[in-house]
Amino acid sequence: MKAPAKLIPRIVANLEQVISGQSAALRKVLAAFLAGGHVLLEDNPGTGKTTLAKALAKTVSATFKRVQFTPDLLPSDILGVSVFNPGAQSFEFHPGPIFTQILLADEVNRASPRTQSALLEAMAEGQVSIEGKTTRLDDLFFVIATQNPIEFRGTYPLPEAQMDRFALRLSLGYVNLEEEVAIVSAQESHHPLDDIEACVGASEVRALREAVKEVRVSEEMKRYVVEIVRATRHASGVQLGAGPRASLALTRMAQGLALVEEMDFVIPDHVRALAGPVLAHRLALDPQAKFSGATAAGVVADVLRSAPAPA
Amino acid sequence: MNTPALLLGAAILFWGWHSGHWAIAVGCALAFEAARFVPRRWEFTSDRLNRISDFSAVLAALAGVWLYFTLGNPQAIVQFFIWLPIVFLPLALSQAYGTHEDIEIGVIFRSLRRARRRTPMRFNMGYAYFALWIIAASAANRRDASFEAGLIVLAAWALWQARPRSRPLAVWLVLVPLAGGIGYAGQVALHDLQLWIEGNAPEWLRGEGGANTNPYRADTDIGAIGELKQSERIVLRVRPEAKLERPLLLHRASYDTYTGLRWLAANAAFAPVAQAGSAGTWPLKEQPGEVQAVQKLAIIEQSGHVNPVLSLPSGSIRIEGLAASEMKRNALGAVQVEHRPGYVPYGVSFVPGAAVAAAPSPADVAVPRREAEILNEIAGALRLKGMDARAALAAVEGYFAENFTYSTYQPRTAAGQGNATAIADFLQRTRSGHCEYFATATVLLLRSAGIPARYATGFSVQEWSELERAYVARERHAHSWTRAWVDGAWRDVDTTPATWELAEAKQAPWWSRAADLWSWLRLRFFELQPREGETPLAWFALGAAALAWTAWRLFGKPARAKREARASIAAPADSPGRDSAFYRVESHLVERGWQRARNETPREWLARIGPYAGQLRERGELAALLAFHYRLRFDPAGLTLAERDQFSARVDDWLKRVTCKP
Repeated sequence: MKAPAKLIPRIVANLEQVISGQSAALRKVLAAFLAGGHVLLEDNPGTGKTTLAKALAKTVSATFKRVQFTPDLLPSDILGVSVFNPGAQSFEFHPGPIFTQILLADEVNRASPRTQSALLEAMAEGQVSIEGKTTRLDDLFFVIATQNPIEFRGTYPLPEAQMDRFALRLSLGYVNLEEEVAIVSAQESHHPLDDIEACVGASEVRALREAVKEVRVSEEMKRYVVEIVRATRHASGVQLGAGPRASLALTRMAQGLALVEEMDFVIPDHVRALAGPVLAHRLALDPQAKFSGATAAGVVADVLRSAPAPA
Repeated sequence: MNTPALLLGAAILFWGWHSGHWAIAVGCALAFEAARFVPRRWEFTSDRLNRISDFSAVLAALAGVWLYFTLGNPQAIVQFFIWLPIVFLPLALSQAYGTHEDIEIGVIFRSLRRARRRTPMRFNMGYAYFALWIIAASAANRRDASFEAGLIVLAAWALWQARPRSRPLAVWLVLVPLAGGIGYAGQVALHDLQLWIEGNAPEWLRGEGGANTNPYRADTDIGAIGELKQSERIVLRVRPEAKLERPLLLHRASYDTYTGLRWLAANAAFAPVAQAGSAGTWPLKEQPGEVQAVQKLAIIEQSGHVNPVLSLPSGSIRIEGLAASEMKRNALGAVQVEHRPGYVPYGVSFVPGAAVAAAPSPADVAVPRREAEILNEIAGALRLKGMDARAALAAVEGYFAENFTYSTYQPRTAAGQGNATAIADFLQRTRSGHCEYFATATVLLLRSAGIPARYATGFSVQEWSELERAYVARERHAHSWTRAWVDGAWRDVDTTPATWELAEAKQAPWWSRAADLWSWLRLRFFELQPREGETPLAWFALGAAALAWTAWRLFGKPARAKREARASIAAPADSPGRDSAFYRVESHLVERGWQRARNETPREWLARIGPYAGQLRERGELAALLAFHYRLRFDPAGLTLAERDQFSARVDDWLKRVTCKP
């Protein structure tokens, strides 16, 4: 076990003070953060999406910004704008909220496609071009976007090609009765978010990111990943399957999850745990299948069911 | 075959016992059981297996069609199931003697053949084929308890191998007979349900009723309330020499004794009729000396029952071209032949007016007491007493034609009014009914006038079918009329108003035309079949075509085979850690009944069975062993030699601890 991995239990314990009953989802988000992939949380209102993003930012002592997406939000509201300074007789660049380490893009499907693509381009490139000048984003730059799956009125659903920019799409879901009672009790006097303190610094996060790259992946595991991804292309009801980028993302995320579980190699369980979150949002189902009730998550579950697991 | 030794053979012998085909059963059983001792194996490629499977499917389809058209339902279905395992014999044998333990699923299911799977799903036919033999035995079922008993024994035998080792044996011993008992009760209940449905289902669902005639007894619908319904099914096809001027009555049976609602043939013992001259010719009467026109009819009768009663015109003297083993007739003119169900083609020569049936007996003038009063009253009003027989007939015909109407519907108030019988009620009050009322009333009225008369049943032939190029008689054309003894001969007297045919034709349902077409097709197919002495050319042609196609499928080299060969991908290189000691832990748990699903990782598997496996002690140690296993299998760095030894030792230790009783 390498030294940086020793930090993981501390981070998890810190986060679990705030987010209870979501251990599996928490680990996946942490895996994505460490493996350098962005996360789309798709869930009902009030399930803890924002709290999770804030807690993560606080735990790693990173800079945190939040953008509430609305239909009239402009790309410059995210990227930043140059303002003429009469005193200095020059344009001064005022960086937008994207110049941060952890960005929470709330209700990302409410903004116009133009604004959405400004964010998504930044996520893909790791840099932004404003007025001809290219600026690199922070190397820890990590986006947690949220969207509300039940509302369609006044929203612009993200196109499949742009969904591909997110490494994971997760939903937290409701916790069980005991957990929910515990949440109510915990917040009687004040929010536990106020209690937590940073336990790792930016340099340690960079070390963890390096450690993810060193997690070993056997030939058999790579083959298993590719088999699952390829199977989505032939699955019935699928118009557009997952591409090689999905194979890359699934491998990388599995490495991240292995590190979160304090292992230095990937096992089939990691791949299976992440196949749904990594692959489902990249599939385009044909209308006929959609109409008869098929879902992308269901297709991935079928693929996992029919593929023999390495044992 | 993955079935335990002798099980499949036992199932086949069980089939032989029930179906009676002992020789075939013993041969098949030996062929399958010998596979356990014969070391020789043959290599069948999946392509070859596909063709064998197609051959079986074609065989099944041909057998189904042939059985349906020769035997008709339901015998065809029963025979089809009895012979189904034989149809799949080539495929099952190729698995038993093939080098592979199992076959690809696509061999059985065509639709799965083209699916591009790198590791096709494989399937061992053993138990499926075992079940097929049991199903076939059930079709041949001798309808006693031996089938149920045998079924339970064979099923228990098969299940014994798969009993869960993780549960006490006593539970299994209780549950198997319980399941057998529930199965038996369910089967009885299902049978009752079928009887109930058949009793309540529309007529066309009920299968081949045919129009059966009992020469001893005719139960009439006299006195029944409500609508009289009859089927549109064609039962007779008649080709006369010339066009029919008026409806032709084809007689089946006559009855002399009326017992109220039912006619009986009291004095009518059957006597055999000897075959004479050329084969299939049955003389009924010496041809009359005087030169009278002998007419001929060609008839095809469709019978749903064994030993049908033939439909013959009045004055029949000879039956020709009828291949039956025996023929007998009674004094009242009914002619019955020994014949299996299906089509009965024959020709008949007849001289209208010739007396064939025996002279009248005292029973032919008996009038039942209950109706005597009203009959005498009407006979008196018509002044029939002492009238000449011909005149009396005319008077009776006139009486019914003027005062009575045809109806298939009897209102509720009609029957059972006071003491009046249904016939008395018909004569006095309703004056409306169907042919059975008219025929019965006419017989009784003639008898009360002293004229011997009988009640005759049969068919009224009058509908010309362009499709068949013949006259057809449907079940609803079944008719009854009167035979009166006039001038030393029996004469047919039909007093039912001629509108009856029109009234009943209106009841024809919308699908009757399609049913007619289907019936016509079946007859054409029947006519294709070879008769004695003919060369079955059509069948040779059909058989040759089927064989040629099968041969091409089996031995030809279709292009698709090459494409498939190119599309197949090389199997993955062997992965490390295939000799992991953890597999011993796994097989130990599998023996206890905790099978790991193919798509489950070992960790998921242990998490799933953990809460249930009572004897899954040493849980912590098991997790440690799994960690070793995962490192060996999935960590490219692997285990050191020392660690491997340690891993193996700990597995041995774990196995020792969990196998010895606490």
